[in-house]
Amino acid sequence: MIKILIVEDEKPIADLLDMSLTAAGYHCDWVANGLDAADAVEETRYDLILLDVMLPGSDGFELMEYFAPLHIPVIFTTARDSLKDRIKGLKLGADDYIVKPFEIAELLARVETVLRRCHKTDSLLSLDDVTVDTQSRVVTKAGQTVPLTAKEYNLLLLFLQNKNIALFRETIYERVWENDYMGDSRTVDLHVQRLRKKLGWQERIAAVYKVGYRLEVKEP
Amino acid sequence: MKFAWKVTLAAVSILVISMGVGSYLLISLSFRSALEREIDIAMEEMQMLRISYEAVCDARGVTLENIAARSRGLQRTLTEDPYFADRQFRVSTQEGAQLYSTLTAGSDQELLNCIDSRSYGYVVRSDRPGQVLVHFAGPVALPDGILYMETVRDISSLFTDREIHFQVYRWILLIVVAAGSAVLFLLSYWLTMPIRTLGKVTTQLAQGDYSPRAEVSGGDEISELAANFNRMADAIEKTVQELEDAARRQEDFTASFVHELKTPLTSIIGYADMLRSRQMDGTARFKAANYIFSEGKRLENLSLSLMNLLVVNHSAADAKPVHMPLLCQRAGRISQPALEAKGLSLEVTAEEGVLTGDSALLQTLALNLLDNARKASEAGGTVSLTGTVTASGYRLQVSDQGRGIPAEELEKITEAFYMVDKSRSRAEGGAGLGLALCKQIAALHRGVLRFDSELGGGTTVTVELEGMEDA
Repeated sequence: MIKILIVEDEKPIADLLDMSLTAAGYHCDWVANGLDAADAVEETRYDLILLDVMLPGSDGFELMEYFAPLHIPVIFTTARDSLKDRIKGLKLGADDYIVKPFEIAELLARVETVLRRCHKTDSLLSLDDVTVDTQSRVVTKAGQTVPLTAKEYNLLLLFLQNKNIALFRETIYERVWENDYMGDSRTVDLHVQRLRKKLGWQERIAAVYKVGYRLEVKEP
Repeated sequence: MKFAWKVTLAAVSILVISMGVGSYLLISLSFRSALEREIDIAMEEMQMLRISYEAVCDARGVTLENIAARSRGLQRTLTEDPYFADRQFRVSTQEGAQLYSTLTAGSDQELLNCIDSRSYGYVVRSDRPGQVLVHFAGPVALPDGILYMETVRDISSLFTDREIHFQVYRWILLIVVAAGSAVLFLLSYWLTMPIRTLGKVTTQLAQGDYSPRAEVSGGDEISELAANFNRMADAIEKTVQELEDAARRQEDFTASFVHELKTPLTSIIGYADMLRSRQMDGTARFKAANYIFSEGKRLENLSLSLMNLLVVNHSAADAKPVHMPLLCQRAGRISQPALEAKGLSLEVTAEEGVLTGDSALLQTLALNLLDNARKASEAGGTVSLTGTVTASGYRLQVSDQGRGIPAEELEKITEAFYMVDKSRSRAEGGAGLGLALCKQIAALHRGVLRFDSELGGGTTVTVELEGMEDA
């Protein structure tokens, strides 16, 4: 199981991260300050650290300098959104930089991406007889390659990363088209229809009334 | 062009002009007087010659009528007499017939025409280059008429002397100017040295380095300038420092504000997103909703505190006499329920006194301090609010027996958004703006906050107020 350390002094946010990540199948530990974070990293081998910048005791940038030689992937989660801070964070060796407030879908996608890039997760995602190789970007169904467009592929990835979560149309649009939602939902609907048809997932991808879609998976 | 060069050039120009004109005038003047002297001498010579000639003629009984017949004898006398033999002169009749001549230069008929039996005349002329002569003509009286005599004096040396003088003087001028220029340049370079060093300092200042200062030595205008410049640099450095500090404070405030705003927003948005897009069990749903509520409350708190701060900063406060004991009692009554709920007892003692100020703001000040005391205290403690009349105004004091403030934090606690114990203040619903607000209110009433604190032993906040100035 993937272990994630949450370094965050605000309990509500730490709980939010914990709940979201646990639901997505990760194991999470939470520490509220820099000293505890250093101790925790020494005790347990973490696959990813979510690091706040404004922490009591020492700030996240200082902690980053401590974490960098350990080669643990780090994602900054902070309210500081100036370009200077982003550059500083990334230059210190962080793998990503998420600005508060963030949406859970975005957080999960970024966590997934960083983990995959650092080979912490299997590059193969699968559900039923559908398998997605995230390295070669090849999708197969029962051993047969399914040709998907780039947008359809991204859409499939988003569903697989957010199982059982109702994805709002605007969230889908933002994540897949990487653009602000313009109010035209037909593009999203059209792509979902095509994806359902290509994978035979008419039942799996359920429409949620007035909201969007949800990939329904029975919990084992 | 450099200032030293300008000074040198100006001084050298004056030197050259004054020396040139002066020497020209001097040489010309001395030449003129020498010339006059030469002419006088020439004239005297001629007079002497004329008298001698007349004497010879008289001794020989020569008259105008017999001069032609006697001329041979006369001539011999003149040639043999050493006095005459050495001189150059010419004697002619009125009609122009030459009687005697030892002149090497020719006679001057024009000059002869200009004179008569009683007058003399002379010309200065040059027959060939390098030779200048004074040619004199005058009458010689014989018993029965007059003859004319011409004499010549060579004054070439006068002119060659003048040329030599000019030449020598040109050399002197050249040497003096060369030496003078060098000395003047060194002198002006030395004199303008402080200006150059001042210039260097101004350049550094213009490039944004405000630390260097000009050297001040002596009491001349330049050192006065340097001293004034230093005063100006001090003022600029101070102002720039103040501006930078203000900008940094502003930046810190904005960064903290953004942080304080985004943190609850992150929770609210995150939990709301979770609630709308996920099927959750009852416990999780309650937890999420509860967080949305508490973080929403936190935002409300933040906005209220900020509003207060803005009001204090920008509104024209009401300056009225405030009856302080009443104010203290009122603040005590308002705080009482919250204090009692935490198991704290409150003591209010206030001396009779009136302070000019805004009663609403002063009450906010007292309430904030009491609220801080409540947050710092454990159940069973006592919080006291004391009002004392002082020489300059009124003193408010709030004491608690709570956990105290670490000494190294004391300086920062009145900064906006600063919290000594963040997680604890959060739990108490603080936004970190209370003391910043108190400081503003105190400043408005010409007062300062003072903290006396002992870790674990409680804190006493003292506010010395002088009151607002009467409108």
